[in-house]
Amino acid sequence: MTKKQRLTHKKVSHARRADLRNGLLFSSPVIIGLLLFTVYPVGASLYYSFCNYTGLKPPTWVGMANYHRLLTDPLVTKSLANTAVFAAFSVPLGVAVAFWLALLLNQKVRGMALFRTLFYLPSIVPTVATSVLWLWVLNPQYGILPGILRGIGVYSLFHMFGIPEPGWMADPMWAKPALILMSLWGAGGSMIIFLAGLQDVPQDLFDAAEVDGATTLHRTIHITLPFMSPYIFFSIVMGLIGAAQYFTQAYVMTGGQGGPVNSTLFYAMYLFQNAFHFFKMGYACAMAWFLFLVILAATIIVFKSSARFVYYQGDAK
Amino acid sequence: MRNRFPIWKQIITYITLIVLSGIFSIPFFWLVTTSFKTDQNISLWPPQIIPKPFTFQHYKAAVGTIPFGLYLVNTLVICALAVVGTVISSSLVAYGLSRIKWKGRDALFMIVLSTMMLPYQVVMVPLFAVYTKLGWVDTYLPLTVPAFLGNAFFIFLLRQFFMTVPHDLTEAAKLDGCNEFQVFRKVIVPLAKPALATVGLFTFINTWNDFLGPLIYLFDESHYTLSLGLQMFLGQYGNYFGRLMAASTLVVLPIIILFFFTQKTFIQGITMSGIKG
Amino acid sequence: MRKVVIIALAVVVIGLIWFHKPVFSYIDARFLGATVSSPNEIVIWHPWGGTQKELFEKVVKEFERTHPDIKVKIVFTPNDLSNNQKFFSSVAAGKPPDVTFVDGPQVSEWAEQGALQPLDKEVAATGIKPGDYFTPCWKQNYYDGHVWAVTYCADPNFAFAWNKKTFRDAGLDPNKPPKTIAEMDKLAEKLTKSGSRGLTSIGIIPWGQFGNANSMYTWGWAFGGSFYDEKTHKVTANDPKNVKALEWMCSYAQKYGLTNISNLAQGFGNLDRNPFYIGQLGMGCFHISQVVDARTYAPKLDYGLGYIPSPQGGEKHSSWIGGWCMALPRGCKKPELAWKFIKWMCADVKGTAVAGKTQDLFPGYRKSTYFDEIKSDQRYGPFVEILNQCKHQRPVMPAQAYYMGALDRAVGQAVYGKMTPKAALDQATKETQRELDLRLAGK
Repeated sequence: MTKKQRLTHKKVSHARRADLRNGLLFSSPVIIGLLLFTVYPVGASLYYSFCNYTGLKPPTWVGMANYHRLLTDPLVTKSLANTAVFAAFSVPLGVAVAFWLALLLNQKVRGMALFRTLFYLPSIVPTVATSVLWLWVLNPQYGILPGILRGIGVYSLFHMFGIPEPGWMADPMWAKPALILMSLWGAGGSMIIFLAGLQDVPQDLFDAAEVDGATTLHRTIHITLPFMSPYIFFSIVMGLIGAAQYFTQAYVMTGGQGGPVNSTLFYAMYLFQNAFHFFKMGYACAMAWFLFLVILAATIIVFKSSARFVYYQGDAK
Repeated sequence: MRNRFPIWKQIITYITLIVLSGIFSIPFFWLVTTSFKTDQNISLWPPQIIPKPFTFQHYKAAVGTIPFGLYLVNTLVICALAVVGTVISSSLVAYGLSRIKWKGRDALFMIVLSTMMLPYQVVMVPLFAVYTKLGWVDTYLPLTVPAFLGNAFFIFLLRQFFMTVPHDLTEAAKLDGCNEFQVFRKVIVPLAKPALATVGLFTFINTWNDFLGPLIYLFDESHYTLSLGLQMFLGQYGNYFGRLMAASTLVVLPIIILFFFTQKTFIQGITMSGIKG
Repeated sequence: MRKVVIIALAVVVIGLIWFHKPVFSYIDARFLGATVSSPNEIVIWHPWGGTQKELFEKVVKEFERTHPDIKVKIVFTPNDLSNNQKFFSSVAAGKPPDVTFVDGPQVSEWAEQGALQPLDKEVAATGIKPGDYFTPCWKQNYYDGHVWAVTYCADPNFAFAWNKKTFRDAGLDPNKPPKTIAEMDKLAEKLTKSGSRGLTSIGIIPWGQFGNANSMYTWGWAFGGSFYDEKTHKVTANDPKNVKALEWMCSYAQKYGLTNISNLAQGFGNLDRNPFYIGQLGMGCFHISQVVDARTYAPKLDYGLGYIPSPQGGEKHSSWIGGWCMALPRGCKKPELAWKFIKWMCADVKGTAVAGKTQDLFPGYRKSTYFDEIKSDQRYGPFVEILNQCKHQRPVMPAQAYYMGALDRAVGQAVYGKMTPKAALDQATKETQRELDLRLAGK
């Protein structure tokens, strides 16, 4: 059947119809999934966002009230700002670190298997088990990190400019930077994806450039980066979506409160509290849909701008 | 192995790698050492680097507290199904969303992607109701069936991979008489092996570590998975901290071993740089 | 490679044939949902993990031994947001457990939201009277004209503990604990020491008594304040006496330096490195479960237990109730059997004694014989006294969790100097009132 409908065949419309059919067939698992397990829950949550809904009692329609409240709730503003700061730093830094690690690991050096495994370790160890560790690492008096910073003279610089020593997780100003720093430990996941992508970079181009006398930096920027752009793009989009919903580590480390003084109250944490602690499921749904729109807008911007910097080998026809 | 770097560059690379990997292995190192410390020494300040005395008591106790063997089997069953389902479904869908041009493709892709943007907390209660209607609660179906219906993250990832495959390759196969499925099976899948392996491994690790899914949908403690079992070491008033660490080590170790031995396949599995590029 | 695969497959197939029975039953239970629970089996969701898990299991065993006609299946579901999701989803979907534990202050809210079903009929049939329970326990579970839960354990919050050795080392009389806030402040000064890297020990951290919110309740009541007027449904977090209490709490941040205190607190250990055991903290509030902890991890600890100090014009011997209750979730399938379980655990002279003794907890049931056993215990004695005089429970109202959160934030804002205590508590009052009105209007 399909053989007859090959692209080489005459009728374009015929081929188009075949493409449509094939496209739908290949995509059918996800279409079924959407219909079975997504449409109803998503629709329900949209409906609840216009309701006074506790999660247990039947919802009652309140129109835009939840959304109005959203705009005046100081904690929404605060948690949104916290999340934005976290995303603005952790996403680019995370991608940069992961990319750097991948480049380092892509060289043909002995013991690579071990190094790769070691870099991936933090992504595997359960958060609950490591949160205590982080409090130790960040302990202002005895922790490893303050120790190193003191050792290399960063704290002396602070003193020079009259900045008090950071209290890290106990300090409203430094708790977020601490969490951003910790998030970089999880770069192993993106690193793996980059490593797999790096296998696609044609070696011959590289060799030719080397013969022409290009430096490593040059080759990285002009050959590796363009070929890696689809994966970098992927990591940025996924990083954004993930960062917008980030909260687990902060939740565990601050005992679920987002302290000190709301400095680690992330949007998703506040949403979670509203949904399952304060019995404000309707409000949580409104918060979720608001966040959805924000992420969607950000993603669309990234997608639109991606045409300029993402290069697909497959596109060159 | 062809040595393409001057020796000093190699030394710098090694030093960088050793320092960085040291930093990255702190959490795991800490997990393991803590699991061998006595209760008295766990909260010693400043912390002990090497446990002294060295004790296995937490391991003995941990294995006695939860049925490790049963939970291991449960976890493996769910993982196996999730990996098979995710790899097959996500690669098929990704192919449909990247290598075939059809009306509505990009819209569907955006819809799939956007399912990740709505925080799960607000769809959970209605979704639970769906599973209850189906009679799936307290079975592994909610944890495995959706895997066969595509996963947005991996669909996107594989789409990115598939899009880097030059069109000439697939066109050539079509000219040779392959239909769309054969192109997928014979051209794309072999080329995407490292990507598929990555998807498989990620799915395995995610499923292995998944806490919330099993927590919500499994009621019977004999149906629990390992990561859900870990919760039993945390208490209202007293924590078995040493046991938690020992059990966490036992849960994490198999993944590390798996990762160590399979990482070559999924990173260096490609040998056709001649065909590509 | 292919051979290996074929052999592996063969092994699997033979294995399946050989073990088909267990394999089929495994698949039945986990994929076909064919878990058949016998009609006399009840499912209990409980919060006792860690060290308490085995002890609770023991109590349940004893119940099964004395009630051979009932089988009990217990599932550990700690009181956190993830497990709340599980509980609410299961109630919403009509698949709840037969019995659930509820944290005391949450009872009214869970009841209002429709997660529980009233126990009036059962309570009446069993002949339980309000006086059978410590007054705050009963009040906590009575909301909107119905009884919603029965107290399993009553935690007298708190006893005031002081480390006698630390007192002696600082040249203080170990047998003279502070009676007033002013006395405590003076002692705290003497117990606070600093080294080259900041504080090495402190007398007490006022906001460090089991979280910001619980600290606020503790000192607010000790200062004579109140938090809620049940008759008018008015939130009174900004009661002038509460403001005084918060001002006093903040005075420690100003006096010793907030950064100093939080740096010290970040280094606090647990188990045998508990700051109280090793002299980093001279005084503090003690929860009843800490008696066992101290016995386990610091058997030689020399400490005293007594009443919480209060200021002039405050409430003498102030304390409030905490602890867990048991309830029937809405839509529970076997209420009769479930009630039998609750009755034995929470309203039975013998059952409560077994539970109390095994888990080292105080039953909420006054008549429990357990109290006779421990009245004269050196450590539990003071707690029994406190329990008998206990007057307060956290506000019984349908926005209690929100209230706790608001208090938590208010204390944080004030202690960190972002707001004055008055402004912080005003804000907490306003926000909580708004929330409460919304819920009461929705009825």
